[in-house]
Amino acid sequence: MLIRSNCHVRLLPLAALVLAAVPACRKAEIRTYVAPRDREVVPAATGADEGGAAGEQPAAERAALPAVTWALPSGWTDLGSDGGMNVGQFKAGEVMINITPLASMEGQENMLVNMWRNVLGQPAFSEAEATAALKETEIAGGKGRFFDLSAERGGTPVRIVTAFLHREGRSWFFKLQGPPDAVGAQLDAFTGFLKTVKFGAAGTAGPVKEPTPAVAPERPAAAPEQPAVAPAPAPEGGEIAVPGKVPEGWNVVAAGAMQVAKYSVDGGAEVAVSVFPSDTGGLAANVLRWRRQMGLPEVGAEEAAGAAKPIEGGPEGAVVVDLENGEKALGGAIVPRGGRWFFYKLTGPTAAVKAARETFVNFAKATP
Amino acid sequence: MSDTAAPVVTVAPVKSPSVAGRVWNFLTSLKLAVVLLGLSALLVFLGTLAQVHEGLYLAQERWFKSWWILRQKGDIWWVPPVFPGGYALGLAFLINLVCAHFRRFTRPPGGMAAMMLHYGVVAAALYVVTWKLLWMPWVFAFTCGALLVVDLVLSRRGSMEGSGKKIGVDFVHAGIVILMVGQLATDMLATESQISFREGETARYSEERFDSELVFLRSVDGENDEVTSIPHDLLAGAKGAIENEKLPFAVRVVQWMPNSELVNRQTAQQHEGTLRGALAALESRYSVAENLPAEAVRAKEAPGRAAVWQAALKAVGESDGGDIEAAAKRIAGQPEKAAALMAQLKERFRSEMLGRFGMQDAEMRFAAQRLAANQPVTDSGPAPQADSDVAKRYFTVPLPEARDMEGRNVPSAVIELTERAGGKKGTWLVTPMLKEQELDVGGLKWRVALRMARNYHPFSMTLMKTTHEVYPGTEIPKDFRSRVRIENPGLKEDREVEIYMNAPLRYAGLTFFQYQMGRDELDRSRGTSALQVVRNPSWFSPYFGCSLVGYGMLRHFLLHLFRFSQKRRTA
Repeated sequence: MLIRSNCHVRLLPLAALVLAAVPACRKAEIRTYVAPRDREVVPAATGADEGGAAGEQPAAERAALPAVTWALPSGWTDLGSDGGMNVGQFKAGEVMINITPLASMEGQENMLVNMWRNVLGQPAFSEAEATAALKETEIAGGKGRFFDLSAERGGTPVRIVTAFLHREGRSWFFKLQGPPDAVGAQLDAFTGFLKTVKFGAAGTAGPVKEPTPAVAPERPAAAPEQPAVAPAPAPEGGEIAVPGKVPEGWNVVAAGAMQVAKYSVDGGAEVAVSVFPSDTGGLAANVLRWRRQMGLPEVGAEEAAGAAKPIEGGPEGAVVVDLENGEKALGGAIVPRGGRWFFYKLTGPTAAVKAARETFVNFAKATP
Repeated sequence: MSDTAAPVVTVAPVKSPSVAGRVWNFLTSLKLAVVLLGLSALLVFLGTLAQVHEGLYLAQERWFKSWWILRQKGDIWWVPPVFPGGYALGLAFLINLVCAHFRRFTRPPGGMAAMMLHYGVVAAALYVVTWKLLWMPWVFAFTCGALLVVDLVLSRRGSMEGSGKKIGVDFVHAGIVILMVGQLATDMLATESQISFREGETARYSEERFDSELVFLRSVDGENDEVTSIPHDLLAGAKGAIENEKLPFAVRVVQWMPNSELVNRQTAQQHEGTLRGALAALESRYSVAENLPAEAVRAKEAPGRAAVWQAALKAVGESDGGDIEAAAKRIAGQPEKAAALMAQLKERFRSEMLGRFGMQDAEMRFAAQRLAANQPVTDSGPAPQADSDVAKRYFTVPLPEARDMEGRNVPSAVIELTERAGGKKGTWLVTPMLKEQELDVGGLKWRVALRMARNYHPFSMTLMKTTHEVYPGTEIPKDFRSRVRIENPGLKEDREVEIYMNAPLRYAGLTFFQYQMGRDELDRSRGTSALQVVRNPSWFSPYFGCSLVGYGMLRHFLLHLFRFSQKRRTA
């Protein structure tokens, strides 16, 4: 009896252990609590106020820009903001000037120079050369810098002066671009213009579209059509009419991002039209970009630009490029028209692209 | 004949132990300890092997953080039908150890009170020393040494005689028990979450990595929301409606996907059109035998295409497929063989195309799958999973559950809401890849979202600066550190601290480890940091357990050494 009762006593620690283990299991239950509304931290996997994919950044979360003012030099025409990436655009004869705020690229100035040299088909500078190419200039009362590049694009000499200022988490780019002589003539006016720029308080310009970073990682093949260089102008809005009658057999479909029109073509091909206020880096850069999209090997800028053929009967400077890689083909046309650049792209199965090529070129060269 | 009787040996009947006695004998037996050790070794072996097939995370969950392992469909051949899991073996060990200890316990000659006092004083001193001084190794070692000397001297004095003899062994066992119980408590109670922020951003919550929550949000004052959170575990296994007094509706989980990807219907349609066009071109390209030589010439330009040709030629019995152009010319004149070759080429190029699409993004993958099954993506097909607006534009596709530590499951669910007053409100598709969706119930605006589970903290943390240095010319980290500002209004605290590799921040019962560093994708000048946030109520148990074990072993060894040397001197 004694043994038996001792056993019971000794089993107590066992029972205690089992009992101790039971409450250790966590029980899932519904909780209610008050928490501050999401504002400061928006983890990548979650979104905000309205329905739609989390990747679609809602307007409320876009950084608001300050209002920018300036004194317009004589002879310049203010074309206004394009509602996209350019907060200001100007024209002085053949010279285009634009103001583009981008995510801050502070500390990457040398790379910026080389990125533009690459776009212009020029070999990269060494660190020392790139640093030497950067000159100081006054922008909005602050210390800005600029670099001056000249090159030939599609047989046409071009000069681009890019000034920039890092300010409050953004880099503001001021680009002067055009024929070398014309740019040279506007250089003083441009320098004076930069001094007159003034920034208001943050948010006074309202929310803006967050642009793609200038130095973007390689985009996937399925990425939407993007201009080749940065700071790149945004495509023009939907009020731009695509000239010409929609050819027979083409069906209007919903235009994608940065496109003003899109058509489906028999045989599985499609035509997309984008309009930009500049040539987005020139012919070679665009042909190279198309070649990459087609999975074609890299070639030099000269060879890329050489692939373009003038469009007979089209506006001056209009060119077409034909690219093919196996089962797929691309026809690209760049048509300057009224101070804007119309980019037409025909893509699809090779057979369908070839069949639609003539219609495509006629459509691209159509006059308004 | 002798009439002397043989001596009678009387054997006392052996009293068999009672059932409780037998249980007690079993639980305290050394045999049980040996069997448990063997099973544990086998569990470690099988669990490690299982990581090859199940991935690190799932294997750990299934084999070590479980009570039982039951064979499931699809398991590899060596998985036993049933096997005790890590928790079961750990608990059995614990029971065996504690019970054996009680069984072999003898009343100390100096009395229980003296022994308990001795044990209590030494253990408490060791606890304080570990808590306060472990982080200064030399001071810790010196203090432990001093404690040990005092302990041994006291043990040899008459007042403690008999009570200190077994303290070393007892401490070793107690330390092991603390380690085991502590690990069990860690597994069951510890939570891990993350804070990811950019320089200048402030975080008030951390997000769990594996668990999600369905939240219904209602604005309280424009600045704050009342959040009703239904945890992952209730959603995944929900059989009926989920109700809560705070919600004016019942929630029913119509569909639950532990891992999924979000597909944009329109984009998938576009990709399907592209793919369909490419397949149509393929069909026309290989429909006329006369075209074969020309196509072979084209194929020679691309190694990938040439390989497909060679495989197709081999499949139609063409042994000499090295020169595909010559082979194509030969076969073009043989109608039957040409037809077979064209069928082979179409099939192979088609699967190649579909395969390539399948390796791209969710929409391309989905388009390829639908096309392969001859089910075009249309405005209504596949049918929307729910009747909310977002579900007309997006749908989710199930994916296999992520099995490794790097993989992350993105759950999705279709939920149905029914108002209390009766009447179905509608169905919604929710996933962390979608933003919060608004819904109107009883004149009140609600928002619903499925998101990774959040742990809100009574303080905020702002990322002030990140430092990310690597050794020159390599990617090997040299210095990863985040300078954060902690603001805790409840404690009127506002200070900055640095969190860096091997130097976590312990604050408010949480431990913040430097986890990842990077640059903001849109703004490369802005550093980003991810902190691993661990809440582990039993975080101190391994430290104290190890202190006890170490102290006990050292004490036991020294005691025996003294006795041995004493005996030698006496002899």
